[in-house]
Amino acid sequence: MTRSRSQGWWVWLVAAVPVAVAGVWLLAVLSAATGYPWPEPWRDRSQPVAYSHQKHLALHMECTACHFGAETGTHAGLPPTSFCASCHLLIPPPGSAAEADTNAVAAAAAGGTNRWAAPTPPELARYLKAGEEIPWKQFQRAPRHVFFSHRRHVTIAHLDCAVCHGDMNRRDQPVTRAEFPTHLPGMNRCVDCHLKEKVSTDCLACHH
Amino acid sequence: MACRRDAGEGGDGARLRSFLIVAMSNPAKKPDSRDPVPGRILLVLGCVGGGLLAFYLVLAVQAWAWSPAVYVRYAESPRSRTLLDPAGPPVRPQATQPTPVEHGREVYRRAGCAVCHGVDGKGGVINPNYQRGTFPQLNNISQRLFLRDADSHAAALEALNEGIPLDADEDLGIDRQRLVGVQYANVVRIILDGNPAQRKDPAGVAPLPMPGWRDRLSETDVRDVIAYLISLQDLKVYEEEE
Ligand code: HEC
Ligand code: HEC
Ligand code: HEC
Ligand code: HEC
Ligand code: HEC
Ligand code: HEC
Repeated sequence: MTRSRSQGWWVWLVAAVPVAVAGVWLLAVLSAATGYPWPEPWRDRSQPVAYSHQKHLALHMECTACHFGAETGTHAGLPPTSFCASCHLLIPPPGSAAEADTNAVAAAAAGGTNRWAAPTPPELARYLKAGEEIPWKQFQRAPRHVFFSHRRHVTIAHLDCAVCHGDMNRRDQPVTRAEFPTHLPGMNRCVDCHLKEKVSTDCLACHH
Repeated sequence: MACRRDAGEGGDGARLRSFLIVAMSNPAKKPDSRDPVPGRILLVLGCVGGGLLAFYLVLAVQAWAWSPAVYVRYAESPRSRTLLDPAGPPVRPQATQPTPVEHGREVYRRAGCAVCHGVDGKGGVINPNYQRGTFPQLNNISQRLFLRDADSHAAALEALNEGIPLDADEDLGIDRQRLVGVQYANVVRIILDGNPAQRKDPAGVAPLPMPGWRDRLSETDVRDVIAYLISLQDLKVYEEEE
């Protein structure tokens, strides 16, 4: 009896390995086929600075002021840190009690007349002081075998950014995943609109 | 592992024999009743299923390796592109020297003037607690420079396009050129050294000032930016006055 029970254990092990492999494989295939963002625990999705589109767009800044490649180039691009630095100043405001204070960041956080209109959180101040580029993670990215040009869609086709990127005016957290307002998987997000707009769906128009 | 166990002495050998018998499902030689038959069937199914899945896994990896997502990457060298494309590599147009206005536009975009003064200098961006409410628009800078008619406007643009600043001594064909020169020097100073912004509510937060660009922009950059800003002037203003 003991012998057969130990044999049963082996049987389950032998059966469990392929089942586990098949499970992982199925998940991988599903995530690739549906484009659904399955959890990727090994990927760090946090952004270095808690940048909020909502707060800045409320000042009526335009998308192409920061993403200045969107009208003229393939890539929209992310703004360099120097853009942030022109508003998020580290020197205290003139005439404030903190002007003589050397610790300008602490003074800027003190509030009242000592405060700039644009408060600078410490993690942003660290990059500005060091003069380093903020290492933003970019999540919206077409695969390398696909050619996508912002100029073609923004300047020539006059599409609003929101058609493809959703309403950024309400996004008060940094972008942490690729999103598409229509929630179509993979290639369909492009082809669906191209069919509607009667634009080329020739494979080689997008693939190279 | 389990199904490839050697036919050793004693119990193991007997088990393997009975296993094979079950596997070949020969009802004539029924195995020892002590051996659990369902366990053996599972063992067989496990081995066959595992083998099949391993086979499919190999096929899946191969399919992935053949998908465009993978192989197109390796066709991205200039050589393979040329091989794949009958028209050969694309011929890039010869890069031409940008005019000062074009260069100024590039400086304006890359320095980030547009985040405050708006794309194409059209203004409208809110500066919290600023006396004037929004950052000043810059597409009307011709008027601020006192270029009072279309001819002066064109002459100023031409001079800057040739690299001559408006506060130069020579005659540029601009109406009241001395005044224009003073204003021009003023604007250059504001761009290089910045300018503080007045508060609307004295007790409120400090509005964002015009930052100085002396250590980031060269004299040429500033001159070209001003040329670009002058080129943004809507010429209808001059028609109405005439
Ligand atoms: C046109 C000026 C301007 C530019 C350029 C700018 N900001 Fe701001 N930022 C502001 C203002 C004004 C606020 C305050 C908005 C509010 O509180 O509603 C702010 C708020 C913030 C905050 C929230 C601070 C807090 O504690 O509430 C962060 C973080 C921030 N900005 C990061 C950035 C980064 C990163 C960049 C560069 C890509 C940048 N900003 C560029 C003006 C600017
Ligand atoms: C003040 C400058 C600024 C303005 C104005 C601005 N953005 Fe951004 N944008 C950023 C920064 C900085 C990031 C990177 C941080 C993040 O992902 O949130 C970013 C990220 C993005 C991303 C995500 C890119 C990726 O794949 O990670 C999209 C999409 C985007 N912006 C679209 C827009 C649109 C659309 C507008 C106009 C409605 C706009 N932005 C206006 C600064 C700006
Ligand atoms: C037709 C759909 C579409 C429109 C319209 C569109 N985008 Fe994009 N955007 C994309 C795609 C697809 C990507 C990924 C591109 C890549 O990886 O090359 C992307 C990427 C980005 C990124 C990430 C950084 C980069 O350079 O790729 C930013 C920022 C961005 N877009 C901003 C904008 C802004 C601002 C506008 C409006 C002026 C805009 N987009 C309009 C589809 C669109
Ligand atoms: C909301 C609609 C829309 C979406 C989504 C969209 N496109 Fe387009 N696309 C257009 C339009 C409209 C044009 C035609 C522009 C023109 O007039 O040249 C175009 C043109 C193009 C062209 C040039 C076609 C040609 O004839 O040479 C390419 C390449 C392209 N798109 C790729 C993409 C890719 C890749 C995506 C997905 C990431 C995408 N598009 C998503 C609307 C869209
Ligand atoms: C409008 C642009 C467009 C056209 C036209 C287009 N594709 Fe795609 N294709 C894409 C994009 C974008 C992706 C990447 C989707 C993703 O992973 O987000 C893609 C991905 C793929 C993939 C990889 C599978 C995957 O999901 O990653 C294959 C294979 C493919 N396309 C084949 C084709 C064929 C065959 C045609 C012609 C019938 C075609 N495509 C036409 C844009 C296009
Ligand atoms: C932080 C936001 C900010 C940025 C970035 C910025 N400016 Fe300014 N600028 C201002 C403010 C605020 C004023 C008004 C100051 C005042 O009240 O006199 C101003 C004034 C000016 C003036 C004078 C306008 C007038 O009518 O008096 C010029 C010219 C000018 N800026 C050019 C530029 C150029 C060129 C750049 C890019 C290299 C630039 N600015 C970048 C905020 C900015």
